[in-house]
Amino acid sequence: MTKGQGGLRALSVAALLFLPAVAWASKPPPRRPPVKPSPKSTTGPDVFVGYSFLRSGEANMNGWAIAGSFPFRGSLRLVADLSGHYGSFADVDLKNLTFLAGVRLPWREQERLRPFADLLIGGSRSTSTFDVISSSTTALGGALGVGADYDVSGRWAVRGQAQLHLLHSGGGWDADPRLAAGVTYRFGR
Amino acid sequence: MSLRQQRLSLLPVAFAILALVSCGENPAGPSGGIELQGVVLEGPSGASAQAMGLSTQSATKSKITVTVEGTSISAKVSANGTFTLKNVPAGTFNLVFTRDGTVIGTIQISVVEGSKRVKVVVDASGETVTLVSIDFETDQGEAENGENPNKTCLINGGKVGQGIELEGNVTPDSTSFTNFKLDVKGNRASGFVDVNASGASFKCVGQAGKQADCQAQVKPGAQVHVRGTLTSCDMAQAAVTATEVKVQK
Repeated sequence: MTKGQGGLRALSVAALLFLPAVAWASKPPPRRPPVKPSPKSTTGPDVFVGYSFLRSGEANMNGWAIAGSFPFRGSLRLVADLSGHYGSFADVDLKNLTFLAGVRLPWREQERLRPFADLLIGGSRSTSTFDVISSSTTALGGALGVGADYDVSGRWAVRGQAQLHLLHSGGGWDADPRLAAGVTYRFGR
Repeated sequence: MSLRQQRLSLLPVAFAILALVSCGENPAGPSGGIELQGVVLEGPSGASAQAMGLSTQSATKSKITVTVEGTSISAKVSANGTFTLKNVPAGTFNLVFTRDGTVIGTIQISVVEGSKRVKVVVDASGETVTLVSIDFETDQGEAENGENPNKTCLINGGKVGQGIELEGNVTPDSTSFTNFKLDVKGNRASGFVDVNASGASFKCVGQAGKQADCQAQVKPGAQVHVRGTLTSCDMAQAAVTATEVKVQK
């Protein structure tokens, strides 16, 4: 599978992941009951912890993600996103640590299903290890992402998220798709 | 089923797809031709770099392009050093590594008969490109460390006259830092390698001392990392002319 095909597959899955949100967003609103504010405040900070998958270069990598967002201006939120991914390619152990920060634009904050879009900048540090030989590189760039939270109970929600990491390294750009899923806890205010 | 219930029921499906995508080790399996998977190690290399926590140097370099010589089969090396070449030819061919159109190294690959996938690891942190490892995967599974029934060299992928990196312990019968024997027990090779280090530079991990201090540490039992050129090789013994000897902690 080429990198392009891998990216295409990941993006296809991302599309599948968010089809419900897209379909719901495009649904005409007339028959919906009046919007009731959620009993849980959505204006406070939130914390996300979950599983994360990254297609980094030619390698499929699995790992974790921790993210937090905080109300900023209007409906915009500030976001910090830290993730670690681990994998193997051609018998070389790969490790990737990414830190991103930026803004999030949420929609329908009072609804049970809340889609959002992220614009993040940051960096990624990759380490490749084979036997005693180790190589590390740092790439700077950013990420474009979409996702959605779905309330399950109280302040808890499940989140699905897709990002495209755009990393500048070695005079060129890499576009690495990332998918994440996990739980979100929202602090009320 | 209400619209909300329908949406909710789709979530597990989406997560299941996500899990399926992530399963397996890089399922980019060959679909006919031979696939070559490679990793270029570009940053500071060796246990010394790990021990000293050196920062990257490759971020300032241009991307490397890998090409099968004489063909249009080519790929750019990604930020984490990985690359894949599809439908590489059977037999022997040269992999050419270029940066900004300038050739920085060439490695000869001899594909084991029946291979479906070749795994190559190279080190491009120095002046040139050095083959670190090569493995072959056949229909019957992975050939252990690229074991080739026609193998004539104890070092996997070792080619006389080409660059090489090895690590091992100095044998008890070694008496000189300029000519010593290395007991190598690694993924790539297991055996004794004669090292001619008369023209090599010497470094000690974690020490910024004089070369002479490091030379004195090349003694029986010491763990050393050798970079140089393979000058001879058979299934019993190999010889390397070293350009750099790093004494590990």
